[in-house]
Amino acid sequence: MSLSLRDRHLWIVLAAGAGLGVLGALLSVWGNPQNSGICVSCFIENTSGALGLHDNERMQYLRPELIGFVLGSILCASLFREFRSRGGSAPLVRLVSGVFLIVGSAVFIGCPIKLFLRLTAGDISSLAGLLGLIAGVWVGLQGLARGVDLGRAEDERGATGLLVPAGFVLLLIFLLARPSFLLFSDRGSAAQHAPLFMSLAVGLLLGVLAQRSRFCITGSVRDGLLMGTRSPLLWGFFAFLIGAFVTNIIMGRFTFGLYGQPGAHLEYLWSFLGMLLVGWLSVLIGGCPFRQLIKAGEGDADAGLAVVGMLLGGGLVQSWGVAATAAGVATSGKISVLVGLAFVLLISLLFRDRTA
Amino acid sequence: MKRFIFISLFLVVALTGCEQPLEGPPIRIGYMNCNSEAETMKRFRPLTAYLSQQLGRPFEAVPVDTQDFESRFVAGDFAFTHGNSLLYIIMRENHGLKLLATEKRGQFGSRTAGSIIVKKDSPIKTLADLQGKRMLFGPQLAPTGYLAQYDLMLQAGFDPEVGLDYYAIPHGAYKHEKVIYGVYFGEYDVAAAPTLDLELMTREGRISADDFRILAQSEIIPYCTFGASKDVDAALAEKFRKVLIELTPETTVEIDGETIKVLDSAWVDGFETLLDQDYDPIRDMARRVNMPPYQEF
Amino acid sequence: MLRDRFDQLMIVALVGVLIFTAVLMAGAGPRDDNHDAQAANRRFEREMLHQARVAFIERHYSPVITLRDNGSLPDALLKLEELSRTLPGEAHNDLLSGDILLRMGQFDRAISKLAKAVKSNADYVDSVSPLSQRPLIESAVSEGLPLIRDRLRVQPDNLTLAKVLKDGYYLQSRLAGGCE
Repeated sequence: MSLSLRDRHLWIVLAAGAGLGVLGALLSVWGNPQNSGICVSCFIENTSGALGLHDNERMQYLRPELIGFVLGSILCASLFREFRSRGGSAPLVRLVSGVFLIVGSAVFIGCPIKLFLRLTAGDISSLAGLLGLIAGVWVGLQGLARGVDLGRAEDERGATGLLVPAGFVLLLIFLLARPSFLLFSDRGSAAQHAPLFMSLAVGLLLGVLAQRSRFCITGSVRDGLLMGTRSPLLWGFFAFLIGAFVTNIIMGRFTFGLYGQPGAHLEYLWSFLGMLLVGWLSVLIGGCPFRQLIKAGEGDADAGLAVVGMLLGGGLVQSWGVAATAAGVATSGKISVLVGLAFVLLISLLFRDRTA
Repeated sequence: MKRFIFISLFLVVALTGCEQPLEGPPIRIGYMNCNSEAETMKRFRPLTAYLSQQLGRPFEAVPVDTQDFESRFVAGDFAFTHGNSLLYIIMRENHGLKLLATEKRGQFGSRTAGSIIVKKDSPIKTLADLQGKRMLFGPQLAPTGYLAQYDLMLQAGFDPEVGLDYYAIPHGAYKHEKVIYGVYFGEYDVAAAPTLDLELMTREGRISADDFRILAQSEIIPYCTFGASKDVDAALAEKFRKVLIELTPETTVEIDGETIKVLDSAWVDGFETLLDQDYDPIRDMARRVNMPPYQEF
Repeated sequence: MLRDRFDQLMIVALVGVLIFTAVLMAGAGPRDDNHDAQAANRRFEREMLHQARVAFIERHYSPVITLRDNGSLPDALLKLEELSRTLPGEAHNDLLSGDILLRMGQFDRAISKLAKAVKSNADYVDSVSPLSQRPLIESAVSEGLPLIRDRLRVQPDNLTLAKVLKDGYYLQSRLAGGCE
């Protein structure tokens, strides 16, 4: 099967990839932290902080982009009759996987989207993370090929798939009403943000595009490894890279180099291992942190649980000092990544169908 | 399986249970006494033991008085040296001593300075005001207790031999502290104090920063230095240097059943490799002050 | 749904609960003054703590700043030593040490001290913080890093300078922004 330019889906994927790249770079220009126009793991840590799950006063903000991703996804899925409540596939494993997705990302300083935003802004220290992500996806695929499977999600009664989107509606209400218990940083990277409605609009648009296209970074790497250039997602990924790179160049945000890059450290081994963990887990649970949000919006309660795990992880990585900084990776961060790798190895052993 | 376990256990015991035997005749390290022999030995015995352990050679600490340092080195009393930066230059110029590593301690790391201090309320405001005053210096071979301050005054056009009413050098141990207290208690109008000693005494609460005014501070110059005789095997000297610069505050050594932190014990923050040309400012000072190794009569 | 009385009862109860919730959220119901006050207090205390810290730093370190501004750099360093006894581990001590060492031309020591200060308190690189010291840190990095790189070219095995270079890159990275 070869790709056809007449294929509408290909164009949607290209639009999603390019949109994510261009808007991801532009959000930094509009106020989000440098090279972090879109960083699902950073945003999750900010959101956990805003909800009081950690007390790092520099990392508390209810990021409208996250709300936009989920609500854009549910709107689009409902419109195209693709919303379907489903779940029941190793829910607790997915919850814990969500925690470790954030652990891996926090040790690298960024989710897979931010990895490429960093790279397209000239930060070549992120190459270690890129190698880790590819290695993780490849190892995950080897596991899948040998029967590692968390099990099929079943259609669920009772519209459980609405629970997580409903939670994000509640977050939207919180964001607009600003109840007194929410915490917002007035300094630090969480105090840097694009105007609220601009962030929300971008989130909604990208949520819609990602839902229609099924575009995600680790999915693109996975399909690239499996299908090569026949994969539409791979072309979407190229569109993302080109979009982000060109935008960074035009906006003067491109600084090529290894040292002194924003939100980056020089502990390459731990960048590699952090992203290895994220890539591997993403293959096992069917998508990177961004994709989990989109799937949660489509009614996937399993992805919803991963999102809940991510929020929990966002609190833990800050409270326990797991998150890396430009100074490097703390011992607790290194231990957490190793525990995460032990977890994913155990999953690969325990959830393997050896009869095939 | 049993054989595998037996061999593994044997290897573990063999590799961890045996200490490396020290080979060859003792290699002596001459340590310049700052205050007393007992203090020198207490400070540097753990470092010496650690060097023996790391290099597999029996090192021995030898406490040496500053004025005897050169003659004892020439007599072959020791092959490695630890002394102040002026001693390093004397031994380098006269005997080809090789530079190994410089001690790090205090605000300036591997460097330090000399200060000319007066009491806070002293009417002395500039070096020119020292005319007719009483001054206390540190020992003559102290680069930041004598040389640097003497040079500062000469550079400012003030000859201490002519301009000062009287100057002295205290006797016995703890000369630098005596110098500082000499001004504090009003016995002298002005003193030549090593900046590091001022820093340490302030940090320990023995003096207050508010009691003194620093009239002038010298150029910042290298601090105490390890060197090796030119006859020492180059490979051994290099290994010695590497052990020194890789020391961390957590490095420990066992002495008489006690675990001791090597750097803490030696009152050192660490070691750094400097270049010989980093010592040129001291050479220039020694030339201007007419001190060894450039002294002319 | 709505097949029997139980369903109908549940629906009515659900609608009732939702309406009640909406009313409470809209602020029409009795306000939980205690909770609001607690939250406001928490925010107030956080802000107060921050301001108190800034005022505390200004008060305790003003003699050092006076000495520094008068050009009495060695005296200022000595005063910092004294303050380190009463305020051990305070990041501002490292920041001012870095500032003074930079003025003395001790770039390597200045960069290490400034990196230590920023690691303890990131407000120093935050342009909106009253404690912001971005120009100072920028000048330490821009002037110091080339000198340290040059020196390391001559002495590639100098571990102390390699550590200083790493500190310099850390400061550069923090100045560049990004997530923390």
